[in-house]
Amino acid sequence: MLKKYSILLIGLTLLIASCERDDICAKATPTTPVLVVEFFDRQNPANTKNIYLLVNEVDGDTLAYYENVSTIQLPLRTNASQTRYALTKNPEDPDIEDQQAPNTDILILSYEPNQSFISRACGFKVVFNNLTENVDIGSDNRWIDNININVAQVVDADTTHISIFH
Amino acid sequence: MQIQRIYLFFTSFLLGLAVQAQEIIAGEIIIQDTTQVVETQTQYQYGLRAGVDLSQILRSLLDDNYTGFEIEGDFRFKENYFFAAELGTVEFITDELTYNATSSGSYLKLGINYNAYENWTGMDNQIYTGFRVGTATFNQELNEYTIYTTNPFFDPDVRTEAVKYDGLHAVWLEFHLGLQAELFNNLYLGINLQLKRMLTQKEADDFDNLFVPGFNKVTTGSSFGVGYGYTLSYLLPIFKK
Repeated sequence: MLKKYSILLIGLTLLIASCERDDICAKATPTTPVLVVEFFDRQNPANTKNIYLLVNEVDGDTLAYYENVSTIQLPLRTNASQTRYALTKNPEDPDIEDQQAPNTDILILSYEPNQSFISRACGFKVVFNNLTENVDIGSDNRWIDNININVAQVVDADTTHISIFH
Repeated sequence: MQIQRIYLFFTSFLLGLAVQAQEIIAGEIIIQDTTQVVETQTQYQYGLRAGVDLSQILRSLLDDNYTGFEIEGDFRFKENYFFAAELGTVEFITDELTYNATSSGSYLKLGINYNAYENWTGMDNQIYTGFRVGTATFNQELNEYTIYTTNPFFDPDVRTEAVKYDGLHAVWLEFHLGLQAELFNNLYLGINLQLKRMLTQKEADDFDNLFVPGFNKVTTGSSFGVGYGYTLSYLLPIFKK
Protein backbone atom coordinates (compact mmCIF):
# COMPACT_ATOMS: atom_id res chain seq x y z
CA MET A 1 0.00 0.00 0.00
CA LEU A 2 2.82 2.33 0.98
CA LYS A 3 4.80 1.28 -2.08
CA LYS A 4 1.94 2.02 -4.46
CA TYR A 5 1.41 5.46 -2.91
CA SER A 6 5.11 6.27 -3.09
CA ILE A 7 5.29 5.45 -6.79
CA LEU A 8 2.27 7.66 -7.44
CA LEU A 9 3.67 10.50 -5.35
CA ILE A 10 7.11 10.35 -6.99
CA GLY A 11 5.48 10.36 -10.41
CA LEU A 12 3.29 13.34 -9.55
CA THR A 13 6.24 15.19 -8.05
CA LEU A 14 8.35 14.80 -11.17
CA LEU A 15 5.44 15.87 -13.35
CA ILE A 16 4.65 18.96 -11.33
CA ALA A 17 8.28 19.93 -10.83
CA SER A 18 8.93 19.92 -14.57
CA CYS A 19 5.84 21.83 -15.63
CA GLU A 20 6.39 25.52 -16.11
CA ARG A 21 4.11 28.06 -17.64
CA ASP A 22 5.47 29.50 -20.86
CA ASP A 23 6.13 33.16 -20.38
CA ILE A 24 6.04 34.81 -23.78
CA CYS A 25 6.09 38.52 -24.43
CA ALA A 26 2.86 39.01 -26.38
CA LYS A 27 3.15 40.98 -29.62
CA ALA A 28 0.39 43.29 -28.49
CA THR A 29 2.32 44.29 -25.35
CA PRO A 30 3.55 47.86 -25.61
CA THR A 31 7.34 47.79 -25.52
CA THR A 32 9.88 50.42 -26.55
CA PRO A 33 7.94 52.64 -28.98
CA VAL A 34 9.06 53.96 -32.35
CA LEU A 35 8.46 57.57 -33.41
CA VAL A 36 5.59 57.97 -35.85
CA VAL A 37 5.96 60.76 -38.41
CA GLU A 38 3.20 61.73 -40.81
CA PHE A 39 3.57 63.93 -43.90
CA PHE A 40 1.02 66.60 -44.86
CA ASP A 41 0.55 68.93 -47.79
CA ARG A 42 1.88 72.39 -46.91
CA GLN A 43 -0.72 73.97 -49.15
CA ASN A 44 -3.60 71.92 -47.76
CA PRO A 45 -2.51 71.16 -44.21
CA ALA A 46 -5.44 68.90 -43.47
CA ASN A 47 -4.46 66.45 -46.22
CA THR A 48 -1.65 63.96 -46.09
CA LYS A 49 0.89 64.04 -48.91
CA ASN A 50 2.94 61.06 -49.98
CA ILE A 51 6.69 61.30 -50.18
CA TYR A 52 9.66 59.42 -51.59
CA LEU A 53 12.07 59.48 -48.69
CA LEU A 54 15.46 57.95 -47.99
CA VAL A 55 16.18 57.86 -44.26
CA ASN A 56 19.75 57.54 -42.98
CA GLU A 57 20.95 57.91 -39.47
CA VAL A 58 23.57 60.66 -39.37
CA ASP A 59 26.95 58.90 -39.12
CA GLY A 60 25.10 55.64 -39.17
CA ASP A 61 23.27 53.12 -41.33
CA THR A 62 20.45 53.52 -43.79
CA LEU A 63 17.16 52.95 -42.06
CA ALA A 64 14.85 52.64 -45.05
CA TYR A 65 13.77 53.98 -48.42
CA TYR A 66 10.12 54.87 -48.20
CA GLU A 67 8.42 54.82 -51.56
CA ASN A 68 5.35 57.00 -51.85
CA VAL A 69 4.01 56.74 -48.33
CA SER A 70 2.64 59.32 -45.91
CA THR A 71 3.57 57.72 -42.58
CA ILE A 72 6.99 56.53 -41.47
CA GLN A 73 8.42 55.09 -38.27
CA LEU A 74 11.74 56.22 -36.79
CA PRO A 75 13.34 54.25 -33.95
CA LEU A 76 14.95 56.39 -31.24
CA ARG A 77 18.19 55.54 -29.45
CA THR A 78 17.41 54.34 -25.93
CA ASN A 79 20.87 54.93 -24.48
CA ALA A 80 21.18 58.53 -25.68
CA SER A 81 19.10 61.67 -25.41
CA GLN A 82 19.30 62.50 -29.09
CA THR A 83 18.85 60.77 -32.44
CA ARG A 84 19.63 62.42 -35.76
CA TYR A 85 18.23 61.34 -39.09
CA ALA A 86 19.13 62.65 -42.56
CA LEU A 87 15.84 62.78 -44.49
CA THR A 88 16.45 62.89 -48.24
CA LYS A 89 13.37 63.76 -50.23
CA ASN A 90 13.26 62.41 -53.80
CA PRO A 91 16.47 60.46 -53.78
CA GLU A 92 17.57 59.54 -57.29
CA ASP A 93 15.22 56.78 -58.28
CA PRO A 94 15.20 55.70 -61.95
CA ASP A 95 11.64 54.41 -61.62
CA ILE A 96 10.14 57.82 -60.88
CA GLU A 97 9.14 60.06 -63.75
CA ASP A 98 9.71 63.82 -63.66
CA GLN A 99 11.61 63.60 -60.44
CA GLN A 100 12.63 66.72 -58.63
CA ALA A 101 16.18 67.17 -57.39
CA PRO A 102 17.03 65.38 -54.12
CA ASN A 103 17.02 67.52 -51.01
CA THR A 104 18.35 66.47 -47.62
CA ASP A 105 17.22 67.97 -44.33
CA ILE A 106 18.55 66.66 -41.03
CA LEU A 107 15.99 66.04 -38.33
CA ILE A 108 17.43 66.21 -34.80
CA LEU A 109 15.23 64.65 -32.14
CA SER A 110 15.92 65.36 -28.46
CA TYR A 111 14.16 63.62 -25.58
CA GLU A 112 14.49 62.15 -22.10
CA PRO A 113 14.60 58.36 -22.13
CA ASN A 114 12.77 56.75 -19.21
CA GLN A 115 13.30 53.09 -18.39
CA SER A 116 10.56 50.93 -16.89
CA PHE A 117 9.83 47.26 -16.23
CA ILE A 118 7.16 45.74 -18.48
CA SER A 119 6.69 42.22 -17.14
CA ARG A 120 8.54 39.05 -16.27
CA ALA A 121 8.19 37.82 -19.83
CA CYS A 122 9.22 40.99 -21.66
CA GLY A 123 11.76 42.64 -19.41
CA PHE A 124 12.47 46.36 -19.66
CA LYS A 125 11.42 49.07 -22.09
CA VAL A 126 12.28 52.71 -22.58
CA VAL A 127 9.77 55.47 -23.29
CA PHE A 128 10.73 58.95 -24.46
CA ASN A 129 9.56 62.09 -22.69
CA ASN A 130 9.69 65.79 -23.57
CA LEU A 131 10.35 65.33 -27.24
CA THR A 132 11.73 68.36 -29.06
CA GLU A 133 12.92 68.71 -32.63
CA ASN A 134 15.40 70.73 -34.59
CA VAL A 135 15.98 70.83 -38.31
CA ASP A 136 19.36 71.36 -39.92
CA ILE A 137 18.58 72.28 -43.51
CA GLY A 138 22.13 71.97 -44.80
CA SER A 139 23.55 73.95 -47.66
CA ASP A 140 20.46 73.77 -49.89
CA ASN A 141 16.93 74.96 -49.29
CA ARG A 142 14.70 73.23 -46.81
CA TRP A 143 12.03 70.88 -48.11
CA ILE A 144 10.46 70.61 -44.68
CA ASP A 145 8.15 73.60 -44.74
CA ASN A 146 6.83 73.19 -41.23
CA ILE A 147 7.15 70.66 -38.43
CA ASN A 148 4.82 70.09 -35.47
CA ILE A 149 5.13 67.94 -32.40
CA ASN A 150 1.68 66.47 -31.79
CA VAL A 151 2.65 64.29 -28.84
CA ALA A 152 5.73 65.13 -26.74
CA GLN A 153 5.55 61.88 -24.76
CA VAL A 154 6.37 58.88 -26.93
CA VAL A 155 4.93 55.87 -25.10
CA ASP A 156 3.38 53.88 -27.93
CA ALA A 157 3.21 53.75 -31.71
CA ASP A 158 -0.55 54.24 -31.88
CA THR A 159 -0.61 57.98 -32.60
CA THR A 160 1.31 60.34 -34.84
CA HIS A 161 3.95 62.05 -32.77
CA ILE A 162 5.32 64.47 -35.40
CA SER A 163 3.68 66.09 -38.42
CA ILE A 164 5.85 67.36 -41.27
CA PHE A 165 4.46 69.69 -43.94
CA HIS A 166 6.11 69.68 -47.33
CA MET B 1 -30.77 -53.12 28.28
CA GLN B 2 -32.31 -50.05 29.79
CA ILE B 3 -29.62 -49.78 32.52
CA GLN B 4 -26.92 -49.99 29.82
CA ARG B 5 -28.48 -47.07 28.03
CA ILE B 6 -28.67 -45.07 31.24
CA TYR B 7 -24.97 -45.76 31.92
CA LEU B 8 -24.17 -44.75 28.34
CA PHE B 9 -26.08 -41.51 28.75
CA PHE B 10 -24.41 -40.55 32.01
CA THR B 11 -20.88 -41.35 30.90
CA SER B 12 -21.21 -39.47 27.64
CA PHE B 13 -22.76 -36.53 29.51
CA LEU B 14 -19.95 -36.44 32.04
CA LEU B 15 -17.31 -36.86 29.34
CA GLY B 16 -18.90 -34.07 27.39
CA LEU B 17 -18.78 -31.81 30.43
CA ALA B 18 -15.18 -32.69 31.09
CA VAL B 19 -14.22 -31.90 27.52
CA GLN B 20 -16.11 -28.62 27.67
CA ALA B 21 -14.37 -27.63 30.84
CA GLN B 22 -11.04 -28.19 29.21
CA GLU B 23 -12.04 -26.14 26.23
CA ILE B 24 -13.07 -23.24 28.39
CA ILE B 25 -9.75 -23.32 30.13
CA ALA B 26 -8.01 -23.36 26.78
CA GLY B 27 -10.23 -20.49 25.59
CA GLU B 28 -9.29 -18.31 28.51
CA ILE B 29 -5.66 -18.64 27.70
CA ILE B 30 -6.26 -17.54 24.12
CA ILE B 31 -8.28 -14.51 25.19
CA GLN B 32 -5.51 -13.38 27.49
CA ASP B 33 -2.96 -13.47 24.68
CA THR B 34 -4.99 -11.25 22.36
CA THR B 35 -5.41 -8.62 25.06
CA GLN B 36 -1.65 -8.31 25.38
CA VAL B 37 -1.19 -7.90 21.62
CA VAL B 38 -3.77 -5.08 21.47
CA GLU B 39 -1.97 -3.15 24.21
CA THR B 40 1.41 -2.92 22.41
CA GLN B 41 -0.26 -1.77 19.16
CA THR B 42 -1.45 1.55 20.58
CA GLN B 43 1.97 2.79 21.71
CA TYR B 44 3.47 5.80 19.88
CA GLN B 45 6.97 7.14 19.97
CA TYR B 46 7.12 10.83 20.89
CA GLY B 47 10.18 12.88 20.19
CA LEU B 48 11.77 15.51 17.99
CA ARG B 49 12.43 14.49 14.39
CA ALA B 50 14.83 16.66 12.43
CA GLY B 51 16.50 16.32 9.09
CA VAL B 52 17.57 17.89 5.80
CA ASP B 53 15.99 18.21 2.39
CA LEU B 54 18.12 16.12 0.04
CA SER B 55 16.39 17.43 -3.09
CA GLN B 56 17.69 20.94 -2.47
CA ILE B 57 21.23 19.67 -1.88
CA LEU B 58 21.03 17.68 -5.08
CA ARG B 59 19.60 20.59 -7.05
CA SER B 60 22.34 22.88 -5.73
CA LEU B 61 24.93 20.50 -7.16
CA LEU B 62 23.22 19.96 -10.50
CA ASP B 63 21.64 23.34 -11.21
CA ASP B 64 24.08 26.21 -11.77
CA ASN B 65 21.41 28.77 -11.01
CA TYR B 66 20.22 27.24 -7.74
CA THR B 67 21.81 27.11 -4.30
CA GLY B 68 19.61 26.10 -1.42
CA PHE B 69 19.58 24.33 1.90
CA GLU B 70 16.67 23.37 4.11
CA ILE B 71 16.29 21.75 7.49
CA GLU B 72 12.94 20.32 8.39
CA GLY B 73 11.40 18.51 11.28
CA ASP B 74 8.34 17.68 13.25
CA PHE B 75 7.11 16.92 16.73
CA ARG B 76 4.25 14.56 17.50
CA PHE B 77 1.75 16.17 19.88
CA LYS B 78 -1.11 13.72 19.49
CA GLU B 79 -1.38 10.17 18.15
CA ASN B 80 -1.44 11.07 14.46
CA TYR B 81 -0.78 14.80 14.56
CA PHE B 82 2.53 16.57 14.29
CA PHE B 83 3.75 20.15 14.57
CA ALA B 84 5.97 20.57 11.52
CA ALA B 85 8.41 23.21 10.37
CA GLU B 86 10.87 23.94 7.58
CA LEU B 87 13.69 26.49 7.64
CA GLY B 88 15.77 27.20 4.62
CA THR B 89 17.81 29.62 2.55
CA VAL B 90 17.90 29.85 -1.23
CA GLU B 91 19.76 31.82 -3.86
CA PHE B 92 18.31 31.57 -7.35
CA ILE B 93 19.38 33.21 -10.60
CA THR B 94 16.64 33.94 -13.11
CA ASP B 95 18.42 33.92 -16.44
CA GLU B 96 16.10 35.12 -19.18
CA LEU B 97 16.88 36.31 -22.71
CA THR B 98 16.41 39.96 -21.86
CA TYR B 99 17.57 40.09 -18.24
CA ASN B 100 19.44 38.27 -15.51
CA ALA B 101 18.56 38.69 -11.84
CA THR B 102 19.43 36.98 -8.56
CA SER B 103 16.89 36.38 -5.80
CA SER B 104 18.28 35.36 -2.42
CA GLY B 105 16.90 35.10 1.07
CA SER B 106 15.55 32.73 3.68
CA TYR B 107 12.20 31.29 4.64
CA LEU B 108 10.36 29.67 7.53
CA LYS B 109 7.31 27.44 7.26
CA LEU B 110 5.21 26.32 10.23
CA GLY B 111 2.26 24.03 10.27
CA ILE B 112 0.63 20.75 11.19
CA ASN B 113 0.79 17.31 9.57
CA TYR B 114 -1.83 14.59 9.89
CA ASN B 115 -0.86 10.98 9.35
CA ALA B 116 -3.68 9.06 7.66
CA TYR B 117 -1.84 5.74 7.49
CA GLU B 118 -2.55 3.02 10.03
CA ASN B 119 0.74 1.43 10.96
CA TRP B 120 1.29 -2.21 11.78
CA THR B 121 2.87 -3.03 15.12
CA GLY B 122 6.32 -1.66 15.57
CA MET B 123 6.29 0.30 12.30
CA ASP B 124 6.31 4.07 11.97
CA ASN B 125 5.52 5.01 8.38
CA GLN B 126 3.36 7.85 7.22
CA ILE B 127 1.04 8.87 4.46
CA TYR B 128 0.25 12.39 5.50
CA THR B 129 -1.37 15.64 4.58
CA GLY B 130 -0.52 18.94 6.13
CA PHE B 131 -0.65 22.66 5.81
CA ARG B 132 1.93 25.37 6.36
CA VAL B 133 2.11 29.09 6.67
CA GLY B 134 5.31 30.27 5.02
CA THR B 135 7.14 33.57 5.24
CA ALA B 136 10.28 34.68 3.44
CA THR B 137 12.53 37.70 3.59
CA PHE B 138 14.71 38.21 0.57
CA ASN B 139 16.27 40.66 -1.81
CA GLN B 140 16.71 40.75 -5.55
CA GLU B 141 19.57 42.04 -7.62
CA LEU B 142 19.18 42.87 -11.27
CA ASN B 143 22.56 41.96 -12.73
CA GLU B 144 22.18 42.73 -16.41
CA TYR B 145 19.36 43.59 -18.77
CA THR B 146 18.69 44.50 -22.40
CA ILE B 147 16.10 47.05 -23.38
CA TYR B 148 13.33 45.21 -25.20
CA THR B 149 12.52 46.64 -28.62
CA THR B 150 10.89 45.12 -31.67
CA ASN B 151 12.84 47.38 -34.02
CA PRO B 152 16.26 45.90 -34.82
CA PHE B 153 17.85 49.02 -36.33
CA PHE B 154 20.14 49.89 -33.43
CA ASP B 155 22.50 47.56 -31.60
CA PRO B 156 20.96 46.02 -28.46
CA ASP B 157 21.08 48.39 -25.49
CA VAL B 158 22.63 46.16 -22.84
CA ARG B 159 22.87 47.69 -19.39
CA THR B 160 25.19 46.07 -16.88
CA GLU B 161 24.88 48.43 -13.94
CA ALA B 162 23.50 46.24 -11.14
CA VAL B 163 20.32 47.39 -9.42
CA LYS B 164 19.51 46.15 -5.90
CA TYR B 165 16.03 45.72 -4.49
CA ASP B 166 16.18 45.13 -0.73
CA GLY B 167 13.72 44.47 2.03
CA LEU B 168 11.30 42.26 0.14
CA HIS B 169 9.09 39.74 1.86
CA ALA B 170 6.20 37.41 1.20
CA VAL B 171 3.65 35.31 3.10
CA TRP B 172 1.89 32.28 1.66
CA LEU B 173 -0.15 29.20 2.49
CA GLU B 174 0.92 25.65 1.66
CA PHE B 175 -0.79 22.30 1.37
CA HIS B 176 1.43 19.23 1.73
CA LEU B 177 0.91 15.65 0.64
CA GLY B 178 3.63 13.25 1.55
CA LEU B 179 5.00 9.86 2.44
CA GLN B 180 7.50 8.94 5.05
CA ALA B 181 9.05 5.58 5.75
CA GLU B 182 11.21 4.48 8.63
CA LEU B 183 14.31 2.99 7.04
CA PHE B 184 15.75 1.55 10.21
CA ASN B 185 16.09 2.54 13.82
CA ASN B 186 14.61 6.06 13.98
CA LEU B 187 15.92 7.09 10.54
CA TYR B 188 13.27 8.30 8.12
CA LEU B 189 13.08 9.02 4.42
CA GLY B 190 10.24 11.15 3.15
CA ILE B 191 8.92 12.66 -0.05
CA ASN B 192 6.30 15.36 -0.29
CA LEU B 193 4.44 17.46 -2.79
CA GLN B 194 3.57 21.09 -2.03
CA LEU B 195 0.85 23.27 -3.41
CA LYS B 196 1.29 26.93 -2.49
CA ARG B 197 -0.87 30.01 -2.59
CA MET B 198 0.61 33.44 -2.18
CA LEU B 199 -1.16 35.64 0.35
CA THR B 200 0.82 38.85 0.35
CA GLN B 201 4.14 40.02 -1.00
CA LYS B 202 6.12 43.20 -0.95
CA GLU B 203 7.51 44.03 -4.36
CA ALA B 204 9.92 46.70 -5.55
CA ASP B 205 8.43 49.76 -7.26
CA ASP B 206 9.71 48.95 -10.71
CA PHE B 207 10.46 45.25 -10.58
CA ASP B 208 8.46 42.08 -9.97
CA ASN B 209 9.33 39.31 -7.56
CA LEU B 210 10.68 36.65 -9.87
CA PHE B 211 11.51 34.00 -7.27
CA VAL B 212 10.60 33.83 -3.60
CA PRO B 213 12.71 31.52 -1.41
CA GLY B 214 10.42 28.76 -0.14
CA PHE B 215 7.67 29.60 -2.62
CA ASN B 216 9.79 29.10 -5.74
CA LYS B 217 9.05 30.75 -9.06
CA VAL B 218 6.37 33.41 -8.97
CA THR B 219 4.21 33.26 -12.10
CA THR B 220 2.73 36.38 -13.62
CA GLY B 221 -1.00 36.61 -13.09
CA SER B 222 -1.26 33.61 -10.77
CA SER B 223 -0.91 33.40 -7.00
CA PHE B 224 -0.21 29.64 -7.05
CA GLY B 225 3.06 27.82 -6.90
CA VAL B 226 4.35 24.29 -6.43
CA GLY B 227 7.25 22.61 -4.77
CA TYR B 228 8.48 19.27 -3.53
CA GLY B 229 10.79 17.86 -0.92
CA TYR B 230 12.82 14.72 -0.36
CA THR B 231 13.88 14.51 3.25
CA LEU B 232 16.19 12.40 5.37
CA SER B 233 15.70 12.78 9.10
CA TYR B 234 16.36 11.27 12.48
CA LEU B 235 14.00 10.92 15.42
CA LEU B 236 15.31 11.77 18.86
CA PRO B 237 12.94 9.79 21.05
CA ILE B 238 11.72 11.44 24.23
CA PHE B 239 8.97 9.24 25.54
CA LYS B 240 6.51 6.51 24.59
CA LYS B 241 2.81 6.94 25.21
